[in-house]
Amino acid sequence: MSSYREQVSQLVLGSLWSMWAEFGVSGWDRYHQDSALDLEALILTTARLGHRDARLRSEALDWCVAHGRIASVVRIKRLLASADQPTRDSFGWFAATVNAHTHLRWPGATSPQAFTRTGRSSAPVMTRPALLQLRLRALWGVSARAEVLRVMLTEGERFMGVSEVAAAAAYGKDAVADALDSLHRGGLLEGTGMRNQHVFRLHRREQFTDLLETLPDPEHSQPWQDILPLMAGFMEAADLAGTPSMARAAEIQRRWREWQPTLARLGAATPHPGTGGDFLRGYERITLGALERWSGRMSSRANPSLAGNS
Amino acid sequence: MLPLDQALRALAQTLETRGLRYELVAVGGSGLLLLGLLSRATRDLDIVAVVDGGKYVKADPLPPALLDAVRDVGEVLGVGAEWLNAAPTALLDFGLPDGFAQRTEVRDFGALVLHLASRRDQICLKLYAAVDQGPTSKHVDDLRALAPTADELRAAATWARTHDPSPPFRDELRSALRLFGADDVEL
Repeated sequence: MSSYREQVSQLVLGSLWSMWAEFGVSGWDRYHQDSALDLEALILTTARLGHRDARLRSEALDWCVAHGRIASVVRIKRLLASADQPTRDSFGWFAATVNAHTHLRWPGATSPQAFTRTGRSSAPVMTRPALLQLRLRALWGVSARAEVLRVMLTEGERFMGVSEVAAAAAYGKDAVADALDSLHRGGLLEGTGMRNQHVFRLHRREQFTDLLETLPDPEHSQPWQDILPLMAGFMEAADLAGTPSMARAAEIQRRWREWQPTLARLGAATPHPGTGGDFLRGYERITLGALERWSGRMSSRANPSLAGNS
Repeated sequence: MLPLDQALRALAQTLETRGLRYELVAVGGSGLLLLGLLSRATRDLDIVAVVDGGKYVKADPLPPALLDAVRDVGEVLGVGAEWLNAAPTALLDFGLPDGFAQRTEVRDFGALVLHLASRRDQICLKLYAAVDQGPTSKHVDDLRALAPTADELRAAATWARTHDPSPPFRDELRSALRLFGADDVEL
Protein backbone atom coordinates (compact mmCIF):
# COMPACT_ATOMS: atom_id res chain seq x y z
CA MET A 1 0.00 0.00 0.00
CA SER A 2 1.38 3.43 -0.91
CA SER A 3 2.21 5.97 1.77
CA TYR A 4 -0.07 8.85 2.72
CA ARG A 5 2.24 11.25 0.91
CA GLU A 6 2.14 9.16 -2.26
CA GLN A 7 -1.63 8.86 -2.11
CA VAL A 8 -2.03 12.61 -1.67
CA SER A 9 0.33 13.28 -4.54
CA GLN A 10 -1.52 10.88 -6.84
CA LEU A 11 -4.90 12.33 -5.93
CA VAL A 12 -3.91 15.98 -6.27
CA LEU A 13 -1.81 15.72 -9.41
CA GLY A 14 -4.30 13.24 -10.86
CA SER A 15 -7.08 15.78 -10.29
CA LEU A 16 -5.11 18.52 -12.01
CA TRP A 17 -4.42 16.25 -15.00
CA SER A 18 -8.08 15.25 -15.15
CA MET A 19 -9.23 18.88 -15.10
CA TRP A 20 -6.71 19.95 -17.74
CA ALA A 21 -7.82 17.02 -19.88
CA GLU A 22 -11.30 18.55 -19.94
CA PHE A 23 -9.78 21.79 -21.25
CA GLY A 24 -8.00 19.93 -24.04
CA VAL A 25 -4.64 19.04 -22.57
CA SER A 26 -3.49 15.62 -23.70
CA GLY A 27 -4.32 13.17 -20.91
CA TRP A 28 -5.88 9.76 -20.40
CA ASP A 29 -7.88 10.16 -17.22
CA ARG A 30 -11.04 12.26 -17.17
CA TYR A 31 -12.91 12.26 -13.88
CA HIS A 32 -14.32 15.77 -14.01
CA GLN A 33 -16.59 15.66 -17.06
CA ASP A 34 -19.64 16.64 -15.00
CA SER A 35 -18.06 19.31 -12.81
CA ALA A 36 -18.14 23.00 -13.70
CA LEU A 37 -14.41 23.73 -13.76
CA ASP A 38 -12.64 26.99 -12.97
CA LEU A 39 -9.87 27.83 -15.43
CA GLU A 40 -8.14 30.60 -13.50
CA ALA A 41 -8.10 28.66 -10.22
CA LEU A 42 -6.67 25.68 -12.09
CA ILE A 43 -3.95 27.82 -13.68
CA LEU A 44 -2.87 29.24 -10.30
CA THR A 45 -2.77 25.85 -8.59
CA THR A 46 -0.93 24.26 -11.51
CA ALA A 47 1.66 27.04 -11.34
CA ARG A 48 2.08 26.42 -7.63
CA LEU A 49 2.43 22.64 -7.90
CA GLY A 50 4.07 22.52 -11.31
CA HIS A 51 7.51 21.80 -9.88
CA ARG A 52 6.18 18.42 -8.74
CA ASP A 53 5.19 17.29 -12.23
CA ALA A 54 7.28 18.78 -15.00
CA ARG A 55 5.11 17.28 -17.74
CA LEU A 56 1.94 18.73 -16.24
CA ARG A 57 3.60 22.14 -16.00
CA SER A 58 4.83 21.91 -19.56
CA GLU A 59 1.47 20.82 -20.99
CA ALA A 60 -0.46 23.40 -18.97
CA LEU A 61 1.91 26.14 -20.18
CA ASP A 62 1.49 24.87 -23.72
CA TRP A 63 -2.29 25.09 -23.41
CA CYS A 64 -2.13 28.57 -21.89
CA VAL A 65 0.15 29.83 -24.65
CA ALA A 66 -2.26 28.47 -27.25
CA HIS A 67 -5.57 29.35 -25.60
CA GLY A 68 -4.79 31.72 -22.75
CA ARG A 69 -6.77 34.52 -24.35
CA ILE A 70 -9.96 32.93 -23.00
CA ALA A 71 -8.69 33.21 -19.44
CA SER A 72 -9.95 36.17 -17.43
CA VAL A 73 -7.22 38.57 -16.39
CA VAL A 74 -9.62 40.15 -13.89
CA ARG A 75 -10.21 36.81 -12.19
CA ILE A 76 -6.50 35.94 -12.22
CA LYS A 77 -5.81 39.27 -10.50
CA ARG A 78 -8.47 38.70 -7.87
CA LEU A 79 -7.53 35.10 -7.15
CA LEU A 80 -3.89 36.08 -7.01
CA ALA A 81 -4.65 38.84 -4.52
CA SER A 82 -6.17 36.34 -2.11
CA ALA A 83 -3.56 33.62 -2.76
CA ASP A 84 -0.70 32.80 -0.42
CA GLN A 85 2.86 33.90 -1.14
CA PRO A 86 4.08 30.55 -2.57
CA THR A 87 1.27 30.69 -5.12
CA ARG A 88 2.05 34.29 -6.04
CA ASP A 89 5.74 33.45 -6.39
CA SER A 90 5.07 30.40 -8.54
CA PHE A 91 2.56 32.20 -10.70
CA GLY A 92 5.10 34.94 -11.38
CA TRP A 93 7.25 32.84 -13.67
CA PHE A 94 4.23 30.99 -15.11
CA ALA A 95 2.61 34.26 -16.15
CA ALA A 96 5.93 35.63 -17.42
CA THR A 97 6.43 32.52 -19.56
CA VAL A 98 2.93 32.80 -21.03
CA ASN A 99 3.40 36.54 -21.63
CA ALA A 100 6.76 35.92 -23.31
CA HIS A 101 5.18 33.66 -25.91
CA THR A 102 1.89 35.49 -26.51
CA HIS A 103 0.50 38.99 -26.69
CA LEU A 104 -1.14 38.45 -23.31
CA ARG A 105 -0.30 40.56 -20.27
CA TRP A 106 -1.09 38.34 -17.33
CA PRO A 107 -0.58 40.07 -13.97
CA GLY A 108 2.06 39.21 -11.41
CA ALA A 109 4.63 38.20 -14.03
CA THR A 110 8.27 37.96 -12.98
CA SER A 111 10.92 36.15 -15.06
CA PRO A 112 10.00 33.65 -17.78
CA GLN A 113 11.36 30.10 -17.77
CA ALA A 114 12.60 28.08 -20.72
CA PHE A 115 9.64 26.78 -22.66
CA THR A 116 9.13 24.83 -25.87
CA ARG A 117 5.74 24.27 -27.41
CA THR A 118 4.68 20.63 -27.21
CA GLY A 119 1.70 21.09 -29.50
CA ARG A 120 -0.11 18.18 -27.89
CA SER A 121 -3.03 20.20 -26.52
CA SER A 122 -6.20 20.64 -28.50
CA ALA A 123 -8.63 23.54 -28.47
CA PRO A 124 -11.21 23.33 -25.69
CA VAL A 125 -14.48 21.73 -26.74
CA MET A 126 -16.88 24.35 -25.44
CA THR A 127 -19.87 22.02 -25.38
CA ARG A 128 -18.33 19.83 -22.70
CA PRO A 129 -20.36 20.21 -19.49
CA ALA A 130 -17.16 20.81 -17.50
CA LEU A 131 -16.36 23.83 -19.67
CA LEU A 132 -19.54 25.75 -18.91
CA GLN A 133 -17.34 28.69 -17.89
CA LEU A 134 -15.73 28.85 -21.34
CA ARG A 135 -19.03 28.32 -23.16
CA LEU A 136 -20.55 31.26 -21.32
CA ARG A 137 -17.50 33.36 -22.18
CA ALA A 138 -17.92 32.38 -25.83
CA LEU A 139 -21.48 33.67 -25.66
CA TRP A 140 -21.13 36.70 -23.36
CA GLY A 141 -17.43 37.47 -23.66
CA VAL A 142 -14.75 37.18 -20.97
CA SER A 143 -16.82 39.31 -18.65
CA ALA A 144 -18.54 39.65 -15.32
CA ARG A 145 -21.81 38.71 -17.03
CA ALA A 146 -20.44 35.31 -18.05
CA GLU A 147 -19.20 34.66 -14.49
CA VAL A 148 -22.48 35.77 -12.95
CA LEU A 149 -24.38 33.36 -15.19
CA ARG A 150 -21.97 30.54 -14.30
CA VAL A 151 -22.59 31.15 -10.61
CA MET A 152 -26.34 31.34 -11.13
CA LEU A 153 -26.36 28.10 -13.11
CA THR A 154 -24.29 26.13 -10.62
CA GLU A 155 -25.87 27.51 -7.46
CA GLY A 156 -29.35 26.20 -8.17
CA GLU A 157 -32.59 28.15 -7.88
CA ARG A 158 -32.02 30.24 -4.78
CA PHE A 159 -31.80 34.04 -4.86
CA MET A 160 -28.34 35.54 -4.34
CA GLY A 161 -27.14 39.04 -3.46
CA VAL A 162 -24.33 41.05 -5.02
CA SER A 163 -21.69 40.20 -2.40
CA GLU A 164 -22.37 36.50 -2.52
CA VAL A 165 -22.27 36.39 -6.31
CA ALA A 166 -19.10 38.50 -6.40
CA ALA A 167 -17.35 36.15 -3.95
CA ALA A 168 -18.43 33.05 -5.86
CA ALA A 169 -17.48 34.60 -9.19
CA ALA A 170 -14.15 36.02 -7.93
CA TYR A 171 -15.08 39.33 -9.50
CA GLY A 172 -15.36 42.84 -8.12
CA LYS A 173 -18.63 43.86 -6.50
CA ASP A 174 -19.15 46.88 -8.74
CA ALA A 175 -18.69 44.84 -11.92
CA VAL A 176 -20.98 42.12 -10.58
CA ALA A 177 -23.64 44.67 -9.55
CA ASP A 178 -23.55 46.12 -13.08
CA ALA A 179 -23.73 42.64 -14.61
CA LEU A 180 -26.64 41.61 -12.40
CA ASP A 181 -28.46 44.81 -13.30
CA SER A 182 -27.83 44.33 -17.04
CA LEU A 183 -28.88 40.70 -17.00
CA HIS A 184 -31.95 41.59 -14.95
CA ARG A 185 -32.98 44.34 -17.35
CA GLY A 186 -32.22 41.99 -20.25
CA GLY A 187 -34.64 39.44 -18.85
CA LEU A 188 -32.19 36.64 -18.03
CA LEU A 189 -32.47 37.20 -14.29
CA GLU A 190 -35.38 37.83 -11.99
CA GLY A 191 -34.81 40.05 -9.01
CA THR A 192 -36.47 40.91 -5.76
CA GLY A 193 -35.71 43.02 -2.71
CA MET A 194 -35.35 46.70 -1.94
CA ARG A 195 -32.75 49.41 -2.46
CA ASN A 196 -29.29 47.93 -1.89
CA GLN A 197 -30.57 44.53 -0.89
CA HIS A 198 -31.54 43.16 -4.23
CA VAL A 199 -31.24 39.43 -4.78
CA PHE A 200 -31.36 37.62 -8.08
CA ARG A 201 -31.74 34.24 -9.70
CA LEU A 202 -32.12 32.91 -13.21
CA HIS A 203 -35.40 33.71 -14.89
CA ARG A 204 -36.93 30.88 -16.92
CA ARG A 205 -34.09 28.64 -15.88
CA GLU A 206 -35.27 25.69 -17.98
CA GLN A 207 -35.36 27.65 -21.23
CA PHE A 208 -31.92 29.03 -20.46
CA THR A 209 -30.43 25.63 -19.71
CA ASP A 210 -32.06 24.26 -22.89
CA LEU A 211 -30.20 26.94 -24.81
CA LEU A 212 -26.89 25.80 -23.33
CA GLU A 213 -27.82 22.13 -23.95
CA THR A 214 -25.23 20.31 -21.82
CA LEU A 215 -24.75 21.37 -18.24
CA PRO A 216 -22.49 20.07 -15.48
CA ASP A 217 -24.00 18.11 -12.63
CA PRO A 218 -24.67 20.54 -9.74
CA GLU A 219 -23.71 17.80 -7.30
CA HIS A 220 -20.24 17.63 -8.81
CA SER A 221 -19.83 21.36 -9.32
CA GLN A 222 -17.53 22.35 -6.52
CA PRO A 223 -16.23 25.83 -5.67
CA TRP A 224 -12.84 25.04 -7.18
CA GLN A 225 -11.44 28.49 -6.40
CA ASP A 226 -11.62 27.44 -2.73
CA ILE A 227 -10.89 23.76 -3.14
CA LEU A 228 -7.85 23.88 -5.41
CA PRO A 229 -5.74 25.96 -2.98
CA LEU A 230 -6.77 23.55 -0.22
CA MET A 231 -5.64 20.61 -2.34
CA ALA A 232 -2.28 22.32 -2.84
CA GLY A 233 -2.08 22.94 0.90
CA PHE A 234 -2.81 19.29 1.72
CA MET A 235 -0.14 18.22 -0.75
CA GLU A 236 2.49 20.51 0.71
CA ALA A 237 1.58 19.45 4.24
CA ALA A 238 2.11 15.83 3.17
CA ASP A 239 5.78 16.69 2.70
CA LEU A 240 6.02 16.86 6.49
CA ALA A 241 5.71 13.07 6.68
CA GLY A 242 9.41 12.74 7.50
CA THR A 243 9.38 15.08 10.52
CA PRO A 244 8.85 13.81 14.08
CA SER A 245 5.20 12.99 14.55
CA MET A 246 4.31 15.59 17.18
CA ALA A 247 6.15 18.36 15.34
CA ARG A 248 4.29 17.33 12.20
CA ALA A 249 0.99 17.35 14.09
CA ALA A 250 1.66 20.82 15.50
CA GLU A 251 2.56 22.18 12.06
CA ILE A 252 -0.55 20.64 10.54
CA GLN A 253 -2.64 22.11 13.35
CA ARG A 254 -1.26 25.56 12.46
CA ARG A 255 -2.17 25.06 8.80
CA TRP A 256 -5.55 23.58 9.71
CA ARG A 257 -6.33 26.81 11.54
CA GLU A 258 -5.30 28.82 8.47
CA TRP A 259 -7.56 26.68 6.30
CA GLN A 260 -10.58 27.21 8.56
CA PRO A 261 -12.02 30.24 6.68
CA THR A 262 -11.87 28.28 3.43
CA LEU A 263 -13.31 25.18 5.04
CA ALA A 264 -16.07 27.34 6.50
CA ARG A 265 -16.80 28.86 3.09
CA LEU A 266 -17.23 25.36 1.72
CA GLY A 267 -20.15 25.16 4.08
CA ALA A 268 -19.50 21.52 4.83
CA ALA A 269 -18.73 19.51 7.92
CA THR A 270 -15.19 20.29 9.03
CA PRO A 271 -14.44 17.86 11.82
CA HIS A 272 -11.39 18.50 13.98
CA PRO A 273 -8.86 15.78 13.31
CA GLY A 274 -8.77 14.74 16.99
CA THR A 275 -6.25 15.08 19.79
CA GLY A 276 -3.02 13.41 20.84
CA GLY A 277 -2.12 10.26 18.97
CA ASP A 278 -5.43 10.34 17.11
CA PHE A 279 -4.68 13.72 15.53
CA LEU A 280 -2.54 12.60 12.61
CA ARG A 281 -4.67 9.52 11.91
CA GLY A 282 -7.78 11.73 11.90
CA TYR A 283 -6.14 14.34 9.72
CA GLU A 284 -4.98 11.79 7.17
CA ARG A 285 -8.40 10.13 7.08
CA ILE A 286 -10.21 13.46 6.60
CA THR A 287 -7.87 14.78 3.94
CA LEU A 288 -7.66 11.54 1.95
CA GLY A 289 -11.46 11.31 2.00
CA ALA A 290 -11.80 14.87 0.76
CA LEU A 291 -9.15 14.47 -1.93
CA GLU A 292 -10.75 11.25 -3.17
CA ARG A 293 -14.07 13.01 -3.43
CA TRP A 294 -12.60 16.04 -5.18
CA SER A 295 -10.68 13.75 -7.52
CA GLY A 296 -14.04 12.72 -8.99
CA ARG A 297 -13.36 9.05 -8.30
CA MET A 298 -16.01 8.58 -5.63
CA SER A 299 -19.46 9.98 -4.90
CA SER A 300 -20.11 12.69 -2.33
CA ARG A 301 -22.41 10.34 -0.44
CA ALA A 302 -19.52 8.03 0.32
CA ASN A 303 -17.63 10.76 2.15
CA PRO A 304 -19.58 13.79 3.30
CA SER A 305 -16.69 15.39 5.24
CA LEU A 306 -15.24 18.53 3.62
CA ALA A 307 -17.64 17.74 0.81
CA GLY A 308 -18.39 21.26 -0.35
CA ASN A 309 -21.68 22.34 -1.81
CA SER A 310 -23.22 18.98 -2.41
CA MET B 1 5.97 9.53 30.14
CA LEU B 2 4.16 12.33 31.98
CA PRO B 3 1.68 14.27 29.80
CA LEU B 4 3.70 17.39 30.57
CA ASP B 5 6.89 15.68 29.44
CA GLN B 6 5.14 14.63 26.25
CA ALA B 7 3.97 18.19 25.63
CA LEU B 8 7.44 19.61 26.23
CA ARG B 9 9.06 17.09 23.90
CA ALA B 10 6.42 17.89 21.26
CA LEU B 11 7.08 21.60 21.73
CA ALA B 12 10.82 21.08 21.41
CA GLN B 13 10.35 19.07 18.20
CA THR B 14 8.05 21.74 16.81
CA LEU B 15 10.49 24.54 17.66
CA GLU B 16 13.34 22.60 16.07
CA THR B 17 11.30 22.00 12.90
CA ARG B 18 10.64 25.74 12.71
CA GLY B 19 14.27 26.63 13.29
CA LEU B 20 13.64 28.12 16.73
CA ARG B 21 15.25 27.63 20.13
CA TYR B 22 14.29 29.00 23.53
CA GLU B 23 15.54 28.82 27.10
CA LEU B 24 12.85 29.41 29.68
CA VAL B 25 12.75 29.59 33.48
CA ALA B 26 9.88 27.60 34.97
CA VAL B 27 8.34 27.82 38.41
CA GLY B 28 5.11 26.57 39.96
CA GLY B 29 3.40 23.21 40.19
CA SER B 30 4.52 21.90 36.84
CA GLY B 31 8.09 22.78 37.66
CA LEU B 32 7.77 20.77 40.86
CA LEU B 33 6.21 17.93 38.91
CA LEU B 34 9.16 17.84 36.53
CA LEU B 35 11.53 17.76 39.51
CA GLY B 36 9.57 14.87 41.01
CA LEU B 37 8.68 16.94 44.07
CA LEU B 38 4.95 16.95 43.42
CA SER B 39 2.52 14.41 42.10
CA ARG B 40 -0.74 16.36 41.81
CA ALA B 41 -2.23 16.77 38.35
CA THR B 42 -1.27 20.11 36.91
CA ARG B 43 -1.53 21.31 33.37
CA ASP B 44 -0.06 24.79 33.12
CA LEU B 45 3.66 25.38 32.98
CA ASP B 46 4.39 28.77 34.53
CA ILE B 47 7.26 30.67 32.96
CA VAL B 48 8.83 33.41 35.04
CA ALA B 49 11.54 34.46 32.59
CA VAL B 50 13.13 33.93 29.22
CA VAL B 51 16.87 33.39 29.22
CA ASP B 52 18.38 35.80 26.72
CA GLY B 53 22.15 35.99 26.42
CA GLY B 54 22.47 34.30 29.81
CA LYS B 55 20.24 36.88 31.50
CA TYR B 56 16.68 36.55 32.77
CA VAL B 57 14.25 38.86 30.99
CA LYS B 58 10.53 39.22 31.59
CA ALA B 59 8.49 36.56 29.84
CA ASP B 60 5.44 38.72 29.24
CA PRO B 61 4.83 38.77 26.39
CA LEU B 62 6.38 35.48 25.39
CA PRO B 63 7.94 35.59 21.91
CA PRO B 64 5.12 35.31 19.30
CA ALA B 65 6.79 32.39 17.52
CA LEU B 66 6.98 30.51 20.82
CA LEU B 67 3.33 31.30 21.57
CA ASP B 68 2.33 29.98 18.14
CA ALA B 69 4.16 26.72 18.73
CA VAL B 70 2.69 26.40 22.25
CA ARG B 71 -0.77 26.92 20.81
CA ASP B 72 -0.28 24.40 18.01
CA VAL B 73 1.02 21.73 20.37
CA GLY B 74 -1.65 22.50 22.95
CA GLU B 75 -4.44 22.16 20.43
CA VAL B 76 -3.06 18.88 19.11
CA LEU B 77 -2.81 17.47 22.64
CA GLY B 78 -6.18 18.89 23.65
CA VAL B 79 -4.78 20.93 26.55
CA GLY B 80 -5.60 24.36 25.16
CA ALA B 81 -3.50 27.16 23.80
CA GLU B 82 -2.12 28.50 27.09
CA TRP B 83 -0.70 25.43 28.77
CA LEU B 84 2.65 27.24 28.86
CA ASN B 85 2.24 30.84 29.99
CA ALA B 86 4.00 33.79 31.50
CA ALA B 87 1.53 34.42 34.33
CA PRO B 88 4.13 34.71 37.14
CA THR B 89 6.64 36.88 35.28
CA ALA B 90 5.79 39.94 37.41
CA LEU B 91 7.90 38.27 40.11
CA LEU B 92 10.91 39.54 38.20
CA ASP B 93 9.94 43.14 38.99
CA PHE B 94 11.14 42.84 42.58
CA GLY B 95 13.63 40.10 41.95
CA LEU B 96 13.92 36.37 42.50
CA PRO B 97 15.69 34.98 45.58
CA ASP B 98 19.46 35.55 45.57
CA GLY B 99 21.29 32.72 43.85
CA PHE B 100 18.10 31.51 42.10
CA ALA B 101 19.79 31.06 38.70
CA GLN B 102 22.67 29.04 40.14
CA ARG B 103 20.30 26.67 41.90
CA THR B 104 18.05 25.88 38.94
CA GLU B 105 18.00 22.40 37.48
CA VAL B 106 18.38 22.46 33.70
CA ARG B 107 16.32 20.11 31.50
CA ASP B 108 17.44 20.04 27.90
CA PHE B 109 14.72 18.98 25.46
CA GLY B 110 16.72 20.08 22.42
CA ALA B 111 15.29 23.25 20.97
CA LEU B 112 13.72 23.92 24.35
CA VAL B 113 15.79 24.24 27.49
CA LEU B 114 14.03 24.60 30.81
CA HIS B 115 15.63 26.04 33.93
CA LEU B 116 13.56 24.61 36.78
CA ALA B 117 13.42 26.53 40.05
CA SER B 118 15.05 24.58 42.88
CA ARG B 119 13.07 23.20 45.83
CA ARG B 120 14.44 25.96 48.05
CA ASP B 121 13.33 28.69 45.65
CA GLN B 122 9.98 27.06 45.04
CA ILE B 123 9.38 27.22 48.80
CA CYS B 124 9.92 30.99 48.64
CA LEU B 125 7.60 31.39 45.65
CA LYS B 126 4.95 29.07 47.04
CA LEU B 127 4.91 30.83 50.41
CA TYR B 128 4.49 34.17 48.68
CA ALA B 129 1.68 32.75 46.49
CA ALA B 130 0.02 31.09 49.48
CA VAL B 131 -0.12 34.45 51.29
CA ASP B 132 -1.37 36.15 48.15
CA GLN B 133 -4.11 33.64 47.39
CA GLY B 134 -5.09 32.52 50.86
CA PRO B 135 -5.06 29.41 53.03
CA THR B 136 -7.36 27.38 50.77
CA SER B 137 -5.26 27.80 47.63
CA LYS B 138 -3.37 25.00 45.88
CA HIS B 139 -0.15 26.75 46.88
CA VAL B 140 -0.67 25.82 50.51
CA ASP B 141 -1.03 22.17 49.50
CA ASP B 142 2.04 22.41 47.29
CA LEU B 143 4.04 23.98 50.11
CA ARG B 144 2.96 21.18 52.44
CA ALA B 145 4.10 18.64 49.86
CA LEU B 146 7.52 20.28 49.89
CA ALA B 147 7.71 19.79 53.70
CA PRO B 148 9.80 22.91 54.34
CA THR B 149 11.94 23.13 57.47
CA ALA B 150 11.65 26.06 59.87
CA ASP B 151 14.86 27.54 58.47
CA GLU B 152 13.56 27.28 54.93
CA LEU B 153 10.29 28.96 55.91
CA ARG B 154 12.24 31.70 57.66
CA ALA B 155 14.33 32.35 54.55
CA ALA B 156 11.23 32.27 52.39
CA ALA B 157 9.42 34.74 54.62
CA THR B 158 12.38 37.11 54.55
CA TRP B 159 12.39 37.02 50.75
CA ALA B 160 8.58 37.43 50.55
CA ARG B 161 8.83 40.61 52.62
CA THR B 162 11.10 42.13 49.96
CA HIS B 163 8.19 41.86 47.53
CA ASP B 164 5.65 43.39 49.86
CA PRO B 165 6.86 45.20 52.98
CA SER B 166 3.36 46.41 53.93
CA PRO B 167 1.94 45.66 57.41
CA PRO B 168 -1.17 43.87 56.03
CA PHE B 169 1.06 41.51 54.04
CA ARG B 170 3.20 40.91 57.14
CA ASP B 171 0.07 39.90 59.04
CA GLU B 172 -1.08 37.57 56.27
CA LEU B 173 2.41 36.09 56.08
CA ARG B 174 2.38 35.43 59.81
CA SER B 175 -0.97 33.64 59.45
CA ALA B 176 0.36 31.55 56.62
CA LEU B 177 3.45 30.57 58.57
CA ARG B 178 1.25 29.46 61.45
CA LEU B 179 -0.34 26.92 59.09
CA PHE B 180 3.08 25.28 58.94
CA GLY B 181 3.80 25.52 62.66
CA ALA B 182 6.29 28.34 62.26
CA ASP B 183 5.13 30.77 64.93
CA ASP B 184 8.49 32.16 65.91
CA VAL B 185 9.60 33.80 62.68
CA GLU B 186 10.79 37.34 63.13
CA LEU B 187 9.15 39.51 60.45
